[in-house]
Amino acid sequence: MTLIRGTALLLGTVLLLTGDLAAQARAGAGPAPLSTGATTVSYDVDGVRVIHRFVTSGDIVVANAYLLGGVRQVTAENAGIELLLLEATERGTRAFSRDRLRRTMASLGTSITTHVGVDWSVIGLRATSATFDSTWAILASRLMEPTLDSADVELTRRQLVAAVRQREDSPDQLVEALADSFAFSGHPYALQPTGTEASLSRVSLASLRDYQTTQVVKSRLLVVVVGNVARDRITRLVRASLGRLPAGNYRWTLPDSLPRLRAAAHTVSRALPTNYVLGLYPGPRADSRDYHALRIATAILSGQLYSEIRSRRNLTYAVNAPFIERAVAAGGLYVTTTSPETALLLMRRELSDLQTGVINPAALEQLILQFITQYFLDNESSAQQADFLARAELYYGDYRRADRFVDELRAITPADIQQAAQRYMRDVRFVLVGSPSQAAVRAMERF
Amino acid sequence: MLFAAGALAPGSAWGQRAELEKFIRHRVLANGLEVIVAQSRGVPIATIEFDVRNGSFTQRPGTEGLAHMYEHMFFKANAQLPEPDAFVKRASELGATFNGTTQEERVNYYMTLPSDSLAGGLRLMAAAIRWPRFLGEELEREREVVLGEYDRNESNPFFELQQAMGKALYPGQWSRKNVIGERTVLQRVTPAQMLEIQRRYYVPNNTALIVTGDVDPDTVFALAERFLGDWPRGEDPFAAEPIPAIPALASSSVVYVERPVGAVTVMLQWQGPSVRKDPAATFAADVFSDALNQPGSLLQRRLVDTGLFQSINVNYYTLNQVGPITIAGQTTPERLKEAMAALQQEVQRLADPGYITPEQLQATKAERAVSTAFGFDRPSEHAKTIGFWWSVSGLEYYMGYVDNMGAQSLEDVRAYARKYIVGKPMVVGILLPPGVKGAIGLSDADVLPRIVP
Repeated sequence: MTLIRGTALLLGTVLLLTGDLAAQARAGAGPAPLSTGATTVSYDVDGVRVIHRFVTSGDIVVANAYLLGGVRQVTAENAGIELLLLEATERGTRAFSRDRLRRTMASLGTSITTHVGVDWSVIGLRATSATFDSTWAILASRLMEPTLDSADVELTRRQLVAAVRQREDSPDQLVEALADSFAFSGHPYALQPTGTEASLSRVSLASLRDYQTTQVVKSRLLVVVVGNVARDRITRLVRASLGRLPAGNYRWTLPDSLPRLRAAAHTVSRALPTNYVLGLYPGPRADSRDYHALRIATAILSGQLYSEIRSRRNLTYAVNAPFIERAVAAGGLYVTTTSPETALLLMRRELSDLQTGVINPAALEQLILQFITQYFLDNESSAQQADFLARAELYYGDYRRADRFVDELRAITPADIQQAAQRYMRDVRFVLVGSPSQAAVRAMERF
Repeated sequence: MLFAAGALAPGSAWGQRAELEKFIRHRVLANGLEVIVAQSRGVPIATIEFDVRNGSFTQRPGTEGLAHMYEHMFFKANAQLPEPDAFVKRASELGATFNGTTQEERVNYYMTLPSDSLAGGLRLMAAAIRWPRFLGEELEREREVVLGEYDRNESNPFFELQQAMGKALYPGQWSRKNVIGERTVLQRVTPAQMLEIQRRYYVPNNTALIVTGDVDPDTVFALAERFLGDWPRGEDPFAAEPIPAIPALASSSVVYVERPVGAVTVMLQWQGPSVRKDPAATFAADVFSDALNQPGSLLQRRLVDTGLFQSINVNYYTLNQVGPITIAGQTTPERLKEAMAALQQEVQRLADPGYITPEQLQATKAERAVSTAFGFDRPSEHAKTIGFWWSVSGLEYYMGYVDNMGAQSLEDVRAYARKYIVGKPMVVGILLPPGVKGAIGLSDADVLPRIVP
């Protein structure tokens, strides 16, 4: 979740009386394909699904193995187990003792990273063409045959527990961690993919080893490779490694819709110079036409909030209406302010304007143009392209939709946007970290 | 290596200069403005960036935070776009995203937009840098926004630790490192102060224009001449008011910050090399840090693999004026005393023969070969990287950076550790929960090195 934009994506005044936008919006030119000269294909290697963007320019390779399911694979009792597993594999495998693994990685100069999210976990490598094979061998060995030595697992567990504790030291991280569980109680998204201190402590060595055996299976894997490496080479490497994993019987589907609960406020008292406020509301599933409509609606609202609450009223440094891109989207309202009551009142007013006003087509056209710029910015690097391809495949059902993203945005009409705003931007459940007043709580409960 | 947020480490590979020269073009206009173009045809966008040699290093006591305040005013009214929000509206019309950052020794402003809008974007950015109006009302309003940013920083316990350590590490010169500044200074900011910063530092001969992405270098040079060629050269800001030297640290000291935190953070800092005085040591510093951050290094094995620390990171933040060397780690209240003793013991060994092995030295080169290749993978970030190095050390330093890193020997690295770390005065900072210090009986003697210089 990104609450604070690194770059401004703003609209001054969006809501003006105007005519139809759709025709103009659709008249724009389509986007240029990403990475000129790249070709993207998908194929199966012994039951492992591979999406491959072959980029002939440059000499780098990014390869990610997505372990699908995310928080749907765990419970409140063992949340964080997948992160514990992936991190503990760095400490040795049957083919690579800990010291050998580290020496080899150091000599290659490459890196293997891990990340867990609500929809999937990722273990990925960053290498050059010359070092790709050797790094892949280590990545595959970590997934397939980790040693999971007792002392190493304990050390990793302590590191992860410390990270969880430290996360709560940052008010921004705390408010983010609490927001999902408060907004989406009862849904898997309410679970923390990194786990809690309690859940991480409960994972036994036996259950971790069992999890590796039963959950690291071909049907849970999606491999995405972006870089200057040919299909034959990828096929050979996957066939000799991940292709030998058990098939398993996992099937990726979009999660159930998020529960819609009534507006409410959860407060955490902290002696801070300002208040951190984040409210979330459930959005559509990725297979809905509303998905992109809500994406644009949140961008419009972000611009309005920035313009009104930061630029005109100077009540904050950071205000935003994030679109949380997941298999089931969520939207949010975020602000840090010493005047939460006033800021929330203004948020409500801007939200209402978006839901009931008329969208200026010229302003929307500009927003789409900024979206296109942002789209290219978000896909400059090979690693970003790998993630984008994975999202297109898993969220929208076809990796090729990554290249149609801008066309799909352009097809969204003002009516779509307004409908999405009306349909989803309500029943907001807020978390406030700071000094909550009764007035602020009442203001949050009115969304 | 960079430590503060906002810029990336440079890429690296042997023979990097030759590689960079293939796609980086550089020209200096008659007014002294440096124009640097890095062409990349991957995606049809361009990034325009201005870097100005300004930042906290130009701040005297009483002006802390004004360089950052100026950065916020860049996007406000100017002579060509006199209405509030006009910059934002024009940027929207161009399909642009934009932002700015302030660090110790540079302020940068960047805009990314469709490459066919390059001319419009450059015209917009040129107007903002040349003709800001600093309207009193806008300044007053933006001051509240900056104070809101200050509130956010103060809400984070690590900010307090870093501020407290900075004051101890740069005695008498903290204003030169205090980027966010002082609340009281910000509350009294005036348009006249902004105009004075503009007059001194926002001159073409103290600025670089960097353009990366899907652009033609000759077109960029022509546009730069068109929009910025008649920007009058100013006085050399650093001839008129030289930056005073940072006094050497006389003795070691300890800073405790007690806040309700979940983990204990330990930070050791030393005054490191300055690019202007000891550039060779800055290369050795980065090799040293990279080697010690390898999971197989002695430092990591003795401090992390033993469970004393959850993590340990070594860093040198390259600056023209005394960059800090930092070793930071996380531990638990229960193991704090033991962990500190072990850490200080390791610090005394950092220059020992064999502490860094030839294999580890070689590995830093391999790592840089890969990171170099990835460094060029994001043109928009490459602009920020080039801009940082231009401002702190000059473009030549950046062009030769990786090759110079590759030339470092084990003796160079040990000499750096001897000269700047081992046995040298340090600042020890500890962020811990209230009550822990008393509960475990922690004293300065437990956290300072046994032999205090």
